[in-house]
Amino acid sequence: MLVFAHFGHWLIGLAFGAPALLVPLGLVILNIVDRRREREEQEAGASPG
Amino acid sequence: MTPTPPPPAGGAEISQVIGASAAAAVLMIALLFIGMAHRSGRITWLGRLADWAGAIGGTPGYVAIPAALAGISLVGAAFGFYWDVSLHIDNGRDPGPLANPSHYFILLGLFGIFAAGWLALVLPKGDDRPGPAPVKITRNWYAPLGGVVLMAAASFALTGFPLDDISHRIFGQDVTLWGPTHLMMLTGAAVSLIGILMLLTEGRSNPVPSAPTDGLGKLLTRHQLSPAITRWIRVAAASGGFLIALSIYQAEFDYGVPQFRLLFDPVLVAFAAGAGLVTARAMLGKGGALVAAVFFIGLRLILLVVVTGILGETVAHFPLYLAEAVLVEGAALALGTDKRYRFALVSGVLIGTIGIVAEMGWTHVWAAIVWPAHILPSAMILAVVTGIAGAVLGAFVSGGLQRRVEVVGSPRTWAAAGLSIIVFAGVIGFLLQTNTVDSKAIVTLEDASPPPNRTVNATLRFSDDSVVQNPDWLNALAWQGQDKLVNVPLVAAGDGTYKTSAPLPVYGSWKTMLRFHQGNILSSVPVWLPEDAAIPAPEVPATASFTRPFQDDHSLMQREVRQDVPTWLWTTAGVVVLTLSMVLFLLVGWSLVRVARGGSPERKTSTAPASPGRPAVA
Repeated sequence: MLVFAHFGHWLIGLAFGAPALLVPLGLVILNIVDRRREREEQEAGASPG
Repeated sequence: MTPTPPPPAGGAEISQVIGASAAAAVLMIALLFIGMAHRSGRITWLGRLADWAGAIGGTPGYVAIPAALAGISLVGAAFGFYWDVSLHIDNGRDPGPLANPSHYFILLGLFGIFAAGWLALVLPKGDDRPGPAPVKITRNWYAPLGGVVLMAAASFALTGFPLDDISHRIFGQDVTLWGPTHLMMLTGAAVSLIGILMLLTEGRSNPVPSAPTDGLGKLLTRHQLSPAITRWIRVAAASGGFLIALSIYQAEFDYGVPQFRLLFDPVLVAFAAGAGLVTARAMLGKGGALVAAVFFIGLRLILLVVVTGILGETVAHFPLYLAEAVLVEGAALALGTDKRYRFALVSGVLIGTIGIVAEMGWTHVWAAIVWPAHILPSAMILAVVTGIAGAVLGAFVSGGLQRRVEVVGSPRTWAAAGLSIIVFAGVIGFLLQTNTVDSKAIVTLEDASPPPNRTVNATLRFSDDSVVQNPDWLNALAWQGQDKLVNVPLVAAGDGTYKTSAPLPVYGSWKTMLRFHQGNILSSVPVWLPEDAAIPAPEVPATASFTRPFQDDHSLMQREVRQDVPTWLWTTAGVVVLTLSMVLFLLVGWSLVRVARGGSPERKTSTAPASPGRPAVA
């Protein structure tokens, strides 16, 4: 029963808390990736040829 | 016949956990899918719906839908909250997270706020960036700050759910409103009001969608109010809601089951009045503080009618805030609100003095716990401090929302806001310290009605009667008996004894005790406690006479809390919650500064004067 109780905590934590934390985290990662891509594109555009 | 096992005291049952988790997962995936499909152009109905709602509401679509959804969700969550607290007071702890119907409203309410934040983030598309200082997510995705605050507030609140369950497992169930994870849920909901108000501010920087052409849209826009009045109503509702949100922390006092010092009540009332009424007056102009107070009273009355009148649960009393609102209006009339912190300072002092005297008078008319006159000096000193702290925060919040850089844009103003939070926390920390009275209770019980539903009249004598001087309360409490709680004062009989003023139930699941609070002493003695195998805890019988030592009040009010948990574990849990709270507060502060600084210079320093023809909504 204790195993199930811990499994329950894990599950409820995943369903309630994880999206609430992962969605903002996902947006931050998206922002970083986009900035990096933008910088690479600018560098490629600025390079001769 | 097999006796019904007691509800578990250490966590949720697995079937309910799976149900709640599956529902949350489905809702969340649907929400994320719709948002991303809207942004990629795979669906167009969400954008059209937002434009339609925006045209009717006289505001951009990215404001219309999230503000309405968050507002409705908050009302639902507030109903669920007050119902939930009254259910716990009357029935004790739940068998699981979905065994209590009020939890659905709280869960859906907090999900609704999260959804509102997410929609505010994903809705704005195209070249017209949302608000004066949008947050760049990608080069073609800019999100309004109000959406960021809504999302963060809801995430903070939702994180409280799994942490709450884990906390129950480690520490036992904390049957108090002020459990750290409970405070996360409440604070997340309260902060979301700032997110709504910020969205309303940001919406002024973008055009309103063109009038709808469909039949229903035409019908709804035919008698449309002017944009200024519509905006005023929205801000009034959000400001009134902010006052309600700031008042939820007083709920234990509202119901008559406070587990902390009585001085908390005036301290919290002054803080809420300072922050809520200063914000409302600054945002709405003349009469704004009164409007917020009336909104507060109106919604609390509706909740009272539903929870007590219809659902039959215990009464939640509430302060009026009317005197404080008049005082804030007076301060604004005399000083104006342009010099925001001067206005806040005077308002805080008035709230903490005259306002607290008025609220004390009101407790003698209608309250679960009456404020005795002898607490007035201490109450006023502390309420002035927290009234000013709240008012300064109200000045900061309203300054940011009105885009007044001089109110929020300098290190001095950040220091003022930060110091207010620290001072408020300091007062809370000071009041949390309590002691147990060094005396025994000599109690005799006289049957008022026979078993099986036995009730008794109790007579109490202190083994050392010199300890009783000016009690803040000396009462008998019986709760969790599957009926409305019994909370009656003990009356001095003149011969060193104190008698209950109404019979007390001493059967079934009732938990019946005599409670003594004086200064920093908070002690109780059990009269009747049932056996509780899930904790586990033995029965405390209601014998005809007994002598028992007074105990720490928390040990009786929160019987489920484990006493064998090491201090470092409590400290770690507290630091985790405190850190998360600080992150949320810093984000809100940063958003307020950013929204004030964003946009064209002339708008940044403009002030909206209050006049009957032009509400000072900014």
